[in-house]
Amino acid sequence: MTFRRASRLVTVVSVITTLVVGSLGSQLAVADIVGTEALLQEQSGTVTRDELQSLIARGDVQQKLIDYGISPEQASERVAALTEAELLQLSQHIDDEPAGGSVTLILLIIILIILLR
Amino acid sequence: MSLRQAGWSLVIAASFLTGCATGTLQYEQLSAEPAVTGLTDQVLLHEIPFFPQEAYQCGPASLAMLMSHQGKSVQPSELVDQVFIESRQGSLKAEMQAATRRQGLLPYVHDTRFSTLLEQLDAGHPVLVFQNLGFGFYPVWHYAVVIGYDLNEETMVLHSGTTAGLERDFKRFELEWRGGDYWAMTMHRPGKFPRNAEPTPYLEATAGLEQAGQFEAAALAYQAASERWPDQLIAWMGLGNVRYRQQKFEDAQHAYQQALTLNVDSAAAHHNLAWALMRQQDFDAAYEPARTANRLADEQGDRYRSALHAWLENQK
Repeated sequence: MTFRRASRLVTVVSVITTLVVGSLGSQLAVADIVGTEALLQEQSGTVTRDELQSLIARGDVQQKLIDYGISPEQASERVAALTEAELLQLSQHIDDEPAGGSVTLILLIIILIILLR
Repeated sequence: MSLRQAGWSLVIAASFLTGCATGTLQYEQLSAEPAVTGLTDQVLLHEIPFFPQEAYQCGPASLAMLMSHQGKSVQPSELVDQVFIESRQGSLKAEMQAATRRQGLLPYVHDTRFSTLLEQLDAGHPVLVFQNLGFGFYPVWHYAVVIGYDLNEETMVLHSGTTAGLERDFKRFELEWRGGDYWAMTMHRPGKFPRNAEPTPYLEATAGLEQAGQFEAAALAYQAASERWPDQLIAWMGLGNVRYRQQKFEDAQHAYQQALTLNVDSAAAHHNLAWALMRQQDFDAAYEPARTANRLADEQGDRYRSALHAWLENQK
């Protein structure tokens, strides 16, 4: 587990570094405009998150996708297309989120056949 | 209890969960809904292409059908790396939306009413639905694309799995869809709307495009939203923020000024306007909005003080 925590830390640190160093518009590194998602959260009365929380959630979800077996490059591209609200939701519940994929009920039928034999 | 008995108990329990203990289903009351009486009796969107799914990849296949319908030439195989998680044997709803954004298309998640689903089909929009084809205790999660319905026959038509144009009666369809918490999504070219679009979900979906770096798509959608809902301040704020992120600071300035015409007491509009002016090195003009934002911050939140701070820093 120590290794996983360490690698998660590395991800978070690298994401922060990328943003701080790389982006002119980074809201974390420098003060700047208030973003549209934050305005919508404010309007709907939901608790607004700060940028650091979003950043940590992004790192968490990215690491989780890597743990699921997705390559780091793809994981990075995939989290880039998620909203802050989705990131926060997934960072807390990604293992419980249902994943749609199955084509048939074959597995269930097999179980029943075995039991009813 | 023998295994055989256990097996039959399971079958009985399962039938209870799906067949008997259903509670009220929406389809039973559909004919009484005013929204439904105005609909065409029978809709079939013939033009929706079909891609059969492979293995557990109903997510990529369903997305490809909707995207192709929107004029994108996308194969399911190209979407696998964007939404599929091998070890979970499926795709997450959030990532289905994310992949839609990556194509520059707007994902709109609908409310949970059966009548809404029919309305979208009536308007010509195929609907991505999330279903549980198994049981509550043994879920089999699935994505399918609804392409039609027949009010008289009480049937839905779906592209599902390896079957094109699968027919399902209302009851079975609703049970499977209810298992997926009635999740339904349509996708739209930016600037186009689902039927009965609501401003908040539409603007949230547009902010998602902005967040994903699809700036031109987001700008188109914000512009269309500002025309459709002229009193929506956030449509103008969003447009300004997109232009700002593109470093088109003058365009951003104009959008924030438009927002101010809707609400002269919006701290956000004053604040972001001050920033757009400072980015153009116009510190003289930036002072008033920065100061106003700082004053309104007492009521509307400390985040709106940063423009004045930056302005004062620059004076040192």
